[in-house]
Amino acid sequence: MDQAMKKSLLLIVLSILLLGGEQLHAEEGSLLLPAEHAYSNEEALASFVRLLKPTPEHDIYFDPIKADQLNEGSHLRIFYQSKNPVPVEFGPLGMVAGDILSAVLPPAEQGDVLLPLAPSPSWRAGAKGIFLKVYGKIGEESRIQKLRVENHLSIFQRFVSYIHQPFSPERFTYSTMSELAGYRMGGASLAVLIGILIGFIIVLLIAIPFFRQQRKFPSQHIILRNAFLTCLCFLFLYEARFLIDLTAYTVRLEREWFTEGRLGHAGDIYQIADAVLERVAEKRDTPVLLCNPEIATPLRYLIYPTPLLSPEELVNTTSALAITNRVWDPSTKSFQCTDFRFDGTVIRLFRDGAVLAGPPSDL
Amino acid sequence: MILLNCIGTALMLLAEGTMLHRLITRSEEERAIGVLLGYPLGVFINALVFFSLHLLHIPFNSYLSVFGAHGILIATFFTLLWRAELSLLKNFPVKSLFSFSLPKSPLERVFFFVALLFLIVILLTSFVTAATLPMFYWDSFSHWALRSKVTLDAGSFVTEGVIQPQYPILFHSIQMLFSLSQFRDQVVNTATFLLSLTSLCSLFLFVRDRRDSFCALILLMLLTGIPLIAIHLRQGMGDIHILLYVLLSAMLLEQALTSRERSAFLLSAIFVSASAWAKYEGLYFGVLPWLAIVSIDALRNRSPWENIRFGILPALLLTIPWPLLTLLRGLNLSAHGGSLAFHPEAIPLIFEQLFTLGSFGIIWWVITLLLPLLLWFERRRLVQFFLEHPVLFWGCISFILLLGVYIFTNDVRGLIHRDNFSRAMLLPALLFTYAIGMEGYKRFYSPHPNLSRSVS
Repeated sequence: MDQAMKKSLLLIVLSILLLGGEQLHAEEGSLLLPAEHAYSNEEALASFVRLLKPTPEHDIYFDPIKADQLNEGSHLRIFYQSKNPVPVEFGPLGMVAGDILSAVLPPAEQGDVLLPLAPSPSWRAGAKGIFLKVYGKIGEESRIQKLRVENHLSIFQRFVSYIHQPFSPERFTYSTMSELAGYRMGGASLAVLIGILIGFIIVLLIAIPFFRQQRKFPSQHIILRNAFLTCLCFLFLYEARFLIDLTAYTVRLEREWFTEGRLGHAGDIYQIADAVLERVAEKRDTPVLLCNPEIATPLRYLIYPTPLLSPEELVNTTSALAITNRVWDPSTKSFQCTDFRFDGTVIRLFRDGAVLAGPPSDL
Repeated sequence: MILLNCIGTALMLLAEGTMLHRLITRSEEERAIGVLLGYPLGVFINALVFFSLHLLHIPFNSYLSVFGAHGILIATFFTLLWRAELSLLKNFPVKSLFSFSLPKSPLERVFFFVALLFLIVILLTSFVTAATLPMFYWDSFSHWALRSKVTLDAGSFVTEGVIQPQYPILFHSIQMLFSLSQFRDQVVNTATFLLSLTSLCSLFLFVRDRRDSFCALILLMLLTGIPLIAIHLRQGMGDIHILLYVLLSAMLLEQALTSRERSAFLLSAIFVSASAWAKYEGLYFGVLPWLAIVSIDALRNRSPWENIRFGILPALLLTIPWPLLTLLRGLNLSAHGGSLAFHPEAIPLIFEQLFTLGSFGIIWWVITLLLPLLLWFERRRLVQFFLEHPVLFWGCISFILLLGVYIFTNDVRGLIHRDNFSRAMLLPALLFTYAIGMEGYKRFYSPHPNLSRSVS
């Protein structure tokens, strides 16, 4: 057999190993969807909101499903019914929060999709149970009929998945200043794996000369030298991995900020603050009513010293400006603020459904 | 105009600090590092200026009061320098600021250039983020920058309308100094980034002068390369400044205890006090261990007066004012309370946060592997070894204190909710990394480290 022939055979074998699982899906007729790994929970949720366009009457909701009785496997198969697209977040049971994956199931009368679990760095072969969060709109609920975990990866494909997992990017959120999730491989922390490996190499570097030189330990100097050099190499490797994410994150933030005026997990908040400050500059000291309290902390900072009122505080004062969400139509005249409605005019709509509303006459 | 204002204010702080450094050291060899230490010193002086204006009931939201006070200080320092016949600019050793030596072996060169590349990436991404993007993190919005805005508006350190009014004021003071005309996130973040940058550059020069450029670069890369440090270098919170002030104080303390230089002692005392003005963690895990180390050294050397006069006394005098004011205002020194109870549930969480998550990368693994190895080799003179390495000793004390706080007080909440444990543990991580790095480098090249104290 000549060299070219050998190479071709090897390629064919590798292709079979790599594509074996995928062929199986096609035979069974389920739709294989790609799994996304969102930059942060806030950004994943914002993308679902933009997709579903919930309203105060039909607000967004989610059903968390923990299925610990399911078999082990590499793919989650969902049978469902829905008129709308169904955003889902999913991953292996007991995963690190940052390893959650997301996908959007298409609307279907009898939907049957297959979602890969292996891109989640918390996934490993043999682990049972999955976590699933199904998003939808109240009043237009989807129906999850059946869940099944199936195995569609060959041993080689699993190995490739494990190799890919540490390249899943670090998540950067509001709380990144307090904690970073780090990297994992087959559900195990990469830091732990490297730590154990360093320890093993150091022991090996002591043991080899010990057995070679008639059971005599190498000098302290040699031991320390080897230990320091080993640690340094792995510190550099880990650092290189982290810096890829840090640089990509910085580039993404800069691009978002200078092209869209948005910033990662903070979403529309800066544009909302700018719009408020523009209006307040015209009518000084106007208190602003905020109907969605989740953005109160950053907004209070960004529009300081303009007072920000909660719906409860509105009882004793009046407000000409209001910020609420779940509005998608610029011609909307009536807005919901927690448990009451008010009439007004849209001053500005924001990408994630927030709105700055003014008095009804304000055009 | 904004840029000019920003540069002018930064230069004022730099000049103030450099003059103070020159007055303290009076040494020609220390002039280059003095310029870099000038900015961290100037920032601390600025905190004291804002504090004094507050005590004197002079509103600090006007140019006149703040820059007037700084002007008086500069004039005083200038007069003192002139009387002592010390010049700031004349015969300044510019070359020593930029003199670097490349390592000779090819392997070392590879490490050198990779470390340089990493360092450039970390510092460049941090600078770009700080200088171009607005505040971004939850605690910056709720605690740090908001307090600066409210305080600047009020013209004094108010207790109403701010979260945790007992927190020290160094970080807020620098933010306010650069915002007297208008508060801009990018400007204040650049000002605080300069504080981190000058502290790191000082550290580089210090290590370069005691070891070599290669060691200094690798060490700087290891310190800034801890993932959570790289994130904090992008500014917005006060934690990074405690860490770097403590590190500056630690390196000067090591010099002071080795050479018995009074100026190094005094500067170390000033920097550790500055850390206590950045956040209370600086008081508990910076000043207290520092006092313990200096006191032990005083007893050991039977010369307590020198340590008291140039160390303990200035450290206490510079540290106490803010905690005293806080207590007089009826506020707690800790924002989290402090009831004692044993929390065994903290122990697995501590292991998880240090060894499995991504905040520290693999640095705690490296510390756990190398430190016992070093201590094993020094087991016959362990006490002596710790006394000769105050940075390592400091790291151990702060680590034990922090473990105690999270296992035996209700601060365990910060660990369970993943709020502040990792941030707090950065302090011992940096001290251990610095100490092990310095000692490791020495031993890497010298088979008899106890005979030769330095390779360069």
